[in-house]
Amino acid sequence: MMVTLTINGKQVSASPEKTILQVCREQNLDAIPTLCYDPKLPPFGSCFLCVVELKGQSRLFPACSTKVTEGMDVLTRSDRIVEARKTCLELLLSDHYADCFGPCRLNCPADVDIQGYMSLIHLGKFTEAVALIKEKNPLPSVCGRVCTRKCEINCRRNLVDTPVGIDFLKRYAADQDMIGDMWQPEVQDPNGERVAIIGGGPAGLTCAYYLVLEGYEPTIFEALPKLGGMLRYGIPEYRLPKDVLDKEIDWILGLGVKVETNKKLGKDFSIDDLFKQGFKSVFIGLGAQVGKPMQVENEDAGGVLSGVEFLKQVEMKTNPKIAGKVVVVGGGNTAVDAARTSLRLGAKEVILLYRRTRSEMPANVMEIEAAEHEGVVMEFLAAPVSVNIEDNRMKSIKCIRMELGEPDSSGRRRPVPVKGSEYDLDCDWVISAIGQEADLDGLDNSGKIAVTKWKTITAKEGTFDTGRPGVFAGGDVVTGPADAIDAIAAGRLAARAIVKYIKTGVIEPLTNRFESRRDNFHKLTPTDIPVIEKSERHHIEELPVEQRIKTFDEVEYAYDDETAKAEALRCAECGCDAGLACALQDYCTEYGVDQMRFLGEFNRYKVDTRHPFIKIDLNKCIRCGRCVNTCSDILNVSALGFVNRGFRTIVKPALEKALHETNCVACGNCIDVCPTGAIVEKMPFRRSGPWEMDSIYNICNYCSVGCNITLKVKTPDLFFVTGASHETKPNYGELCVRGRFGYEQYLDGSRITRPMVKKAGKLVPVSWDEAFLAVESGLRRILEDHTPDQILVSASPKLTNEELYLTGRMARAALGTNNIHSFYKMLSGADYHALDEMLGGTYSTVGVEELERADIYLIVGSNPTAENPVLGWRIKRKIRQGARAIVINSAAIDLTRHATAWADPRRGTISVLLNGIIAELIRRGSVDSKFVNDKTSNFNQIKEKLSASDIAEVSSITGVSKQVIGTIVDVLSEGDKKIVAWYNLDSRSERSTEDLKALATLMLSLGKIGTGGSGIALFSHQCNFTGMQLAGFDNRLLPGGVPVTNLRILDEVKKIWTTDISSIIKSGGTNISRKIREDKIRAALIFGENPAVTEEYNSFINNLEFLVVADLFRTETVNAADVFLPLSSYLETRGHFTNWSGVQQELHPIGEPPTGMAAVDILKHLCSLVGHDVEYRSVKDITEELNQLVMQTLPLGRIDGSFMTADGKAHFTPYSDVVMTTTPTVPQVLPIEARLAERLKFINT
Amino acid sequence: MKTVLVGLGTCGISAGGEKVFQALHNELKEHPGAFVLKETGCIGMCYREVLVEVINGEALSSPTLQVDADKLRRAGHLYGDVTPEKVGRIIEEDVLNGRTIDEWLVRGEGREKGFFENQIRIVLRNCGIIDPGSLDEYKSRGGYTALEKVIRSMTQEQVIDEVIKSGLRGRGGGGFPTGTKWKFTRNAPGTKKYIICNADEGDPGAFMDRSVIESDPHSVLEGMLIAGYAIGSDEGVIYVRAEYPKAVARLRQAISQARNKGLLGQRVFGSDFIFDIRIKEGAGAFVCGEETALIASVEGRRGMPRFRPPFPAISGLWGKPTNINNVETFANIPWIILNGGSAFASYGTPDSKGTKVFAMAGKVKRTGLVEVPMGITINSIIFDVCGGILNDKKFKAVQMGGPSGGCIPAVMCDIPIDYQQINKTGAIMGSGGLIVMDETTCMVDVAKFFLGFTQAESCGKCTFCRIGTKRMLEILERITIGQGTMADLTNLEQLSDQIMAASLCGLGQTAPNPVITTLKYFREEYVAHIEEKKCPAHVCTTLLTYNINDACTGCTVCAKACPTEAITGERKQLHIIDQEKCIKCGKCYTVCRFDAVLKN
Repeated sequence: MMVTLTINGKQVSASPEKTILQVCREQNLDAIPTLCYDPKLPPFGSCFLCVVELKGQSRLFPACSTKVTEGMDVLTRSDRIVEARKTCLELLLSDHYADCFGPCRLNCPADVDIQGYMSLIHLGKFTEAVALIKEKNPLPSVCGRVCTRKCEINCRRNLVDTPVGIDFLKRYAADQDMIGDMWQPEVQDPNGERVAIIGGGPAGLTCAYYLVLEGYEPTIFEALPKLGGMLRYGIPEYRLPKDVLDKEIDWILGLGVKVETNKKLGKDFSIDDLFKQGFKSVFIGLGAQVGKPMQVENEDAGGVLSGVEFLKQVEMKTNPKIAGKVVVVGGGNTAVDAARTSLRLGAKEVILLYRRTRSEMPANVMEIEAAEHEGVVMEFLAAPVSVNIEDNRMKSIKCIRMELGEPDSSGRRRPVPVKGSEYDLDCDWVISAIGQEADLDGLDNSGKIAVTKWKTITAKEGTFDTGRPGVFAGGDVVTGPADAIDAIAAGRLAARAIVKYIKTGVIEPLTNRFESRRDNFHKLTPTDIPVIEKSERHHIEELPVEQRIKTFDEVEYAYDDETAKAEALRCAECGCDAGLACALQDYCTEYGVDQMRFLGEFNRYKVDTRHPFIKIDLNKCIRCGRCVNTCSDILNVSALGFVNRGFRTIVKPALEKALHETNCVACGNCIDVCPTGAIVEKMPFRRSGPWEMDSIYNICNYCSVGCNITLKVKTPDLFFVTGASHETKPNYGELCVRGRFGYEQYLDGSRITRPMVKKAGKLVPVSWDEAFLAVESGLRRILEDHTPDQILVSASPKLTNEELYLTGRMARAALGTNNIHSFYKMLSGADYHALDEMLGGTYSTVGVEELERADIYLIVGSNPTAENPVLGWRIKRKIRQGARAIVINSAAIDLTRHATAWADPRRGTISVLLNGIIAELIRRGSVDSKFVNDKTSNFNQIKEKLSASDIAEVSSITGVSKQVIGTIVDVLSEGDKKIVAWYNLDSRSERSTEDLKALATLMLSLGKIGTGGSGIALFSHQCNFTGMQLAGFDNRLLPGGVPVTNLRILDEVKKIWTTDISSIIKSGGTNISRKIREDKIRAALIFGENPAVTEEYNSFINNLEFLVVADLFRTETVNAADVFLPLSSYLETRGHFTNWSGVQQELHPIGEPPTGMAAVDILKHLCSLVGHDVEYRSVKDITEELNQLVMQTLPLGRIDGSFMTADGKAHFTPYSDVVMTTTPTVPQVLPIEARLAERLKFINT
Repeated sequence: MKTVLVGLGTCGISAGGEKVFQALHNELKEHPGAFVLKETGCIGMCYREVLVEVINGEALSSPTLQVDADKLRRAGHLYGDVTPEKVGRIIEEDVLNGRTIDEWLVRGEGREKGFFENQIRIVLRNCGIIDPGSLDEYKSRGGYTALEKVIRSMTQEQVIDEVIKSGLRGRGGGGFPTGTKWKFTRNAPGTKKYIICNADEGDPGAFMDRSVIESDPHSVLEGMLIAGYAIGSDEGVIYVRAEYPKAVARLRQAISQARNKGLLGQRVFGSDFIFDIRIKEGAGAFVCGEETALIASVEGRRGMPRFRPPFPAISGLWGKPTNINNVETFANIPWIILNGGSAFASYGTPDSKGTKVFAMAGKVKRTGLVEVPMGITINSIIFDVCGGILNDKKFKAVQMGGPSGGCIPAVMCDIPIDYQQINKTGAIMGSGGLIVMDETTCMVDVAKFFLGFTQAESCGKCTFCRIGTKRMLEILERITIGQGTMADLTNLEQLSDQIMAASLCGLGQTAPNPVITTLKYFREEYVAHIEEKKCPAHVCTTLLTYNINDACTGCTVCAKACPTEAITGERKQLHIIDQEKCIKCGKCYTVCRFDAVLKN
């Protein structure tokens, strides 16, 4: 049934089960904003951002909670709604005591992700740091020398000690990048559109850079012989070496920017000319390079120079010879530059005359200090009145003393002349540097471009358009003299406006990104920043004063590598860990929110970092409840809840404990649902930033569920894991602790990435070639003394299908041994072949669809919410929605609370219990006779065997009451229900001898395998146990996952491998354990396993004649190795995993292996070492070859009517029900598991 | 034989009723068999507690459901302000010798005559008359005959029709027609249904439900049983404040009595009707009076409201159809069944039938519990029933409906008690809290008080309610300390609009009401605070100045009383207050015997 309603005047039809929000989103009517809505949860309705109007109703309605009804008339964007949403956000922000970014970035005119490049520099990733800087600023090595450093002035470390040396670090990273090939950006293909840029200073260069990136063809017109503007002609060499400038300019030009130098606007061309020449747009970045007159008598006399002109002449080497006593007038950077330059040119004495005091000087403090060190004398509170002339040249200047009066419009106290205090100052040169202005004479014929009386061009803020269509302007020519970084910021934004204008003809206003600031709430004090150790800023060495005043060599040396890394670590990480992934910030930007509007009392909380993986910053919490509801409704855990009332309401861990002390399972799903940065991952590295990362979709490699994960990646070793889309099976965006945080071990620096060979009893790093040579000679020696049957090849069920297939090929075809096995499987004691005879293969017969649609879950021996949590939680949810569960487990697992019946048989008696249940079902006539007759054989044998079973005896052996057995039989007897039996092959603690066979017998008797959505779901702790079978890495299986007795496949393998392996195959498989016990194995190649850690195999490993181990980490087995080969991890590997239900899942690597060689390449190498060359151009070839074999066997899992056995029928097979004792824990033979287990100790799962 | 009744509701107990009871008990020991001593619940005249009534006869002999209170109490002598010391005389003179002590009488022809005369007591029919701990006394007044009638002779539809006919509307404040609500729940699909009695009375100054439960608990149980029968429910829950220990005890006792007599549980009155009731004690969250929050709380979750629909009638407790009524609503039901819906409907106005209980508080002479027919004017309640304004000051306004309600100015108080009429003023009927204010009440301060209450009690879920009310409160605080601006008034109005429009439950949707109504009727007071920096009612301390005028005799009492030594002056000389030192505590104003201290 559907209802018809009107949304924003449009008639739509929708299901009445849907809410207005869902209908609007699904039918693309309006992306209604919301912070609390979660598609996986019932509507909560707390944020009230999604309000809409319903015609005829005075109230506003939350679209997330209001279901559509017939005839409803909805408005989703009226003025009233927008106003309400804005107020809503402003109210939230008035209690959001948090910084979106650190004050460094907030105060950087160019919006550079400073914290981001601090973290990259700390990691030694200088190129990446430069790339990040150049997203906003293409001139980092210039800025790293001349920037006015608003970032450092505002650095929060000022409250504690000294600011981070941000600018030095920028310079450092950029200089590193200049060694050798510089980083190159991605440039769009040229689109043929030309843009003229007038002026080759920082604004023009930046504008050109960002245009060329977008595929435009900028041409820079420069009046002077060289590009750079004031950077070249205004800043002296000792501050900015011109070869640095040239390098950075050349790098920009190299991207495809054209240049015409010695072309002056108004003299050589006009703006009209440019349009006539076909330029689509013009950017004016003329700068302000004419010195302002002092407006004193005789100013134009000989010996009086303008500061900018003087510096320009010095650069062009046309300057007059400066000697004697020089007076520089002014307090800005130009004045200081002129003073210091005069010294270097040979002036005996330099006096800087400034009308206010030192603290009002606009020049950089560091520059002032440097000038003083070099001997420049500062004369404060004095100003020139006139120039005294003698012989047509200045002789001295008349000055007047000043005093400071009331503050003027700039906020500085205005200097007022002291009457009668005039005095003469003798000198040889006067350099006036009291300000600059633009030379706008060339603009004459350009018409509509408005000009102010201060000789600046009027260009709109943010769009930079001048009023004349197509003409934009930015930099000093618009603002008057300002900093290089301001011009750079303008150049980038102007380029953005120009692109938009050329593409659409529209001048798009700039929306200011909303930024929450703690400074809005109060003046911060040292206690307001996170506890950081005091540490003074690392100082930069400088050229000694005696030397520097004689030359124009750069004064400041740079940091070295270690100092740079250490200095970057001083960053206090003020910004929010959510970075740009903050829904709240996005909406605040969209609705133009003013954080100050409702400021009043605000809540302050201490950031809680006690949990090993999760950081809680309640200052950012908006009480949307998504974490609370996810924790309670999706996980049934309820570790988080609301406490207090009214304005003090807040989310906190249960009972006000620390989160890890609650029943938190550390799955971190709260992190994914948090729309702000209130709950974030506690990163294992110093990594607050960078904020923008790439997303790579991959598959978790912990358990067999095969969860989709998203790797947030900046560089191959700077990444973290989040959930995937909530629409993607099987995990719908959910993750457990292993999937989400298990990656951390790859980052702790303990991976070994170089091959090693044992020399004199010690493993020493060697080259790959040497390692392979060692393998080759070792194997040759073994094969001389022994047979191939004395070599063992083991591999971890965490390797990819392709790796496992190739390992198997190497063992069988190259080495000629069938001793292939996984120590993990051997030690877990599980029978991975239990169902081979019964069903034709030991595989799940259902997939995730069947799992989700089941009516009854029969959970035997397993603990789903701990072993395979994501699907375990799903079952919990299904139970809440009406499904039932029967749990057979001696322990009270999480699911027993939710189960209809819980049988707790004594350890090792599961199959006895199952037999009793089957016998009862037979007695009751609940067996599906039709199914049994048509699809199976040998049922009578089982029936006969069980006929003697006595429920009282079963009850006494197992300890399960007759009543519970009765309930289970009742539930299972309901013929029409879909039943899924859940069994984890590695659930070691509960297993009896052959309980999986008993379980399959039960299911077959009920006719519940391979029919109507029922069947067996087999799980493992290991992600690729199914892939291991299908790849044939098992001495009883062939590639394709069929028994070695399958001659057709054996023949197929022979063709593909061009090797006949039939002679080494034994039909019943090889009893490897016995061979090990009997000391028949003399050499081994072990991939990713650590058998030496176990009692059973330690001496075996240490007594081998030759041992090759491939792994990621240093383990006990590695220590015993003769040759060590570093493996690539799943993060760097191409290939596939096959999950529990037989779904083949592709891996997406985040980069190349740091080892320099992928695992499949190692295997290819090893094959060829023993003369078995394999021809694979890429991993894809291996995949295809394996898949061809898999496809030739029956499709696993989905058995529809027939089984994988030879006759297509299932076979009831006798099995033992001898009570077995087991050891409860699975030995950690997989290094990754062991390492994770160490980290996860505290968790209650 | 005479019976002596002592009012031992919470009101009586807090006035010292238990000591009086003990004194009477001691008297009884001295004069064994001279009289029967009993406790009863709230008699209504809380302002006169401890109340002791001396009645001729062993028990009340009228088993009818008489509502005319004056006739009902024809035989008793009701003494007020009784202390243990007064007990002896009452026994001696009245009980033993039949001499009425006229000067202690509070009823009859005395000055408090109008208090009972103008009331019609349906809900309170047994309050202050029976011993609430006695099922027999309840039964002797017709108790459980309505239930028996329903079970023996009425269909579910007939019961619902009778309630619909009565015109009874939900007395918890929402005013939704009770019979219709029952019908919805009865017609909702599902076999398991619940009845919930909302006894989470939380409005400041309201105590109707507490008094009814403490004085006549079985009437509530009987109302629930009848509702259970009508909608086909077998389980009831009473959600009662844990801060009402006496009421909780009374309910437990009544439930156990009813169970023992087969009135509750399996086979009620021997029929197939099954109904049991359990008690859930609330933890004192005001918002749990909201039905969806209440349900969440019963289910063991945090008391946070959820969006409606679905309404509880369709999906309530544990997702099952649930009928929620408050105490007063249920207490009406037995009377309606026995006397007929039309008898109930004969009281009141076309829109609002029957009677309403009000808890009178504030600046009124007679504070306590009254039950009046709908349609009576507010003025009549205040002046005729409750004797007018305390100290005969000027009547300024009433606050109706608790923090969700609003202030009705004195000039509008000739409107009748009627849902529609009251809604028109901007206030609401509410659950029956009625706070009377006189000229010494600052309306900005009143708005601040109520908003402060709702802000603190907000469940914190909705942004507008959680933070919006906080910001409004801050504005009001600014205004009361003279830092408000005229723009603040616009902000208050805008925020009020948005909070009301965009909140999930009644708490948020009505939280701004006190601000809106005071702004509407007393805007000039706000303006005075902002522009003149004056509080016309002399309440807002920061805006006050104390000065001493010529009437000062130099007695030095004020100077001695001043805690900050702000008052100086020689003996017999005019004293002066140092405004810098003055903390505006008002001590001097209170102690001056010559009216020489002026408050401005």
